[in-house]
Amino acid sequence: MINNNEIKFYIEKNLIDFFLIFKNSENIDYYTNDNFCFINNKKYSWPNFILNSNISSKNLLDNIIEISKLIKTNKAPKYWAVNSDLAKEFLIEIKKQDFLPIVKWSGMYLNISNKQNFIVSKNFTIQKISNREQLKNWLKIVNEQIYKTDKLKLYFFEAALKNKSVEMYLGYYNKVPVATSLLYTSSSYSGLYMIATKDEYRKKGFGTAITIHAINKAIEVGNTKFVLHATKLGKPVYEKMGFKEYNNIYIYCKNI
Amino acid sequence: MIISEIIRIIEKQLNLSQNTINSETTFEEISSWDSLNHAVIINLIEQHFDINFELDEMLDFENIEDIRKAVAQKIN
Repeated sequence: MINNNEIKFYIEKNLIDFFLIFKNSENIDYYTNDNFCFINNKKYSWPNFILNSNISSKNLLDNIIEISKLIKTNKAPKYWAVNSDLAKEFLIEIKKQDFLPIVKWSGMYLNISNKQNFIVSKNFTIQKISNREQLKNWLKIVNEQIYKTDKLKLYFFEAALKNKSVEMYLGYYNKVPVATSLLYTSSSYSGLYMIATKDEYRKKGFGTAITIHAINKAIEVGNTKFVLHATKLGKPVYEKMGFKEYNNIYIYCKNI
Repeated sequence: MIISEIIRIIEKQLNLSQNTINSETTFEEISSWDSLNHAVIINLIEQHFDINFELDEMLDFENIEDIRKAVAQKIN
């Protein structure tokens, strides 16, 4: 039986591990110490995050000040992913140091071992990404729908494509690419990322279908534990699939 | 009036002309309203009224009226 603390730990760990698959990519600085790590793209703005899981009340202020200095000298990114289980004093202190909360993700978990059915138009098909052309179409939808800019660059995901822990899926409606998902497995937990549907194809069950498809593919190889980090809009959709919220991840931005 | 003070803070932060926003304006209707500006504005409002919002509360605001209600509740 998995306890709640283990689930919370792996919800955060999967996110950290996912970002760190890009740590050896071109233009990326990666730094780690006993308390936090960060990944910083010197050329583009993604995936730029400070990630931590080991800041305690003893080393709290020292670490926040150290990170602030690294940000001021452009060595560290200004975005910091912080989990909701950190001590309240941390949240007070981080605010004093001019970090402002900008986004909340719900850390969600689902344990499931039977493949799920989904009802969707017969004109909707799903392919696993295996070549550059498919990847370009996948990335176009993710950038347009999630980031509203061309924030994610092709070369990152070409590298991710070679990573055996990553699988990307593209959904087509009448042969037009319309929906995306990404499955990343680490320490037997499968994380779902980059779930998006083109605006004009929403409310047709395509997002649910491409999420369940990724889950089913993981179940086929024996994975039963799934995590994701949902926005406020996405959370009710995942709850309908059976996911439950265990914690929150807040993204803070240093106001400089 | 709380609402006029909130609107003044928002207009100043976002360099908006006077009378372009009101209590019914949603953040989606303000093109320069992004997640960082949201956080900065909420921070300025906290300082102005000498109050503190809960973390989830401040991230859940969707329009100016939401902020006004929360401010009114805290200063009363």
